[in-house]
Amino acid sequence: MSLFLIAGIALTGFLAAGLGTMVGLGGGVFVVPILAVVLGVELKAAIAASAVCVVLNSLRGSSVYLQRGLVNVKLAMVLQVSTAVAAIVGGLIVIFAPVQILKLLFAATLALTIGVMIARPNGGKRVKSGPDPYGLRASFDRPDDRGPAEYVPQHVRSGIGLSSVAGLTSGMLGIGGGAVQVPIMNTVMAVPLRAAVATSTFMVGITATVSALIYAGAGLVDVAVTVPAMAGIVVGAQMGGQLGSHVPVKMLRTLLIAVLLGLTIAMAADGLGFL
Amino acid sequence: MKQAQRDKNHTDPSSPYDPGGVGGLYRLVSLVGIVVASAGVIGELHLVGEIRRGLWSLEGVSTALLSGDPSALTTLGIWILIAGPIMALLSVFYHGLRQRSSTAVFLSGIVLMVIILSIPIKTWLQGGG
Repeated sequence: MSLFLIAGIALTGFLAAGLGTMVGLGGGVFVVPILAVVLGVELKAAIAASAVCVVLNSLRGSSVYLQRGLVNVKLAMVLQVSTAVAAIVGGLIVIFAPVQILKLLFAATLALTIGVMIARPNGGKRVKSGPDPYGLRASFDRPDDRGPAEYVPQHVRSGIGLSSVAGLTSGMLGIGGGAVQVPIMNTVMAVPLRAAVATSTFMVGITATVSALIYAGAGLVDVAVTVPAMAGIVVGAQMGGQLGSHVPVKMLRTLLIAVLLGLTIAMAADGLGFL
Repeated sequence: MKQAQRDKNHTDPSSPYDPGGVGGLYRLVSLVGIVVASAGVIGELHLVGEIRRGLWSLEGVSTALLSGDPSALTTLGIWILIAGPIMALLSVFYHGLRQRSSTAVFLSGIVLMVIILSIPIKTWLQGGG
């Protein structure tokens, strides 16, 4: 592999994580299609590299969220069972499915992500008290010193069922699945957005570990793709987090939707054999 | 009072917000993992001129490390990162045992089992191949 390609992979990770972090998405949803379609990296190697990067990003993000008391660990464990099982199924699909099918599935997921970014569904109304059969009630300190925000997650069974979609997506495509998991927790389960993002960040690391182990067992992890992408993503996410409050997010969101649309079309065309 | 409670939550490893001090563990694991993997890649490029594409197996990595192969460091860094969430689950499991929280023990135990199952599953499906 040439140094030029290694630098391209690192730059892809840097831009994807930097821009993705600014709009609240992980980098995987950008990294995999750019590596596969633009840089010509084999799709399964790109998916495996992305899964390892998701683990790294989750470790870094969760460490901050955990110490701020934003992660609902018990809720994460409840949802994680179905998510992890679905990730195994997704990982096996990557191993055994033809690449063309994976490309079409990725294109469909990108289209779904665009839909979520455009629709930005309203969160469910926070429930502060009431029945809590699973003991998932939690609270976190709000940054504006308005006191702790208490909440009781609702519709837990639906959340468990729907979380398997996030796990399947993550296992199948090597992405974090936060674009699926956060709306499930925030909209369906009425978990406040900050807690949903933090809990999802914690969960995706565990989910991606399941996928990464399956990919590693199948020999799909290409170190020459994974480590440069990791380095780019670490630096990009750091810079994206710091620049996030200084850039016009609305304009950036529009730009990223356009990029995602382009990647969706390219991935679908590739999957259908037009490229 | 509220600040004191918040400080306690941030530093106390037994805080219900961060069972077992997983946040600190994650910071350490991510730092060590990326430093070791990067050192391996730099060593490979410097000594060999190219990066070994595949990962060493868990058994092979120790042999390669002992023989001074820098690619083993790269693999070790990646394995350390992947082990991070597993260590977190073990920590939640152990914390649950100490706190006598059967739900935490049960759920983290199941997730750990799923992860352990994911390691040999491909071999099983291919009939031991």
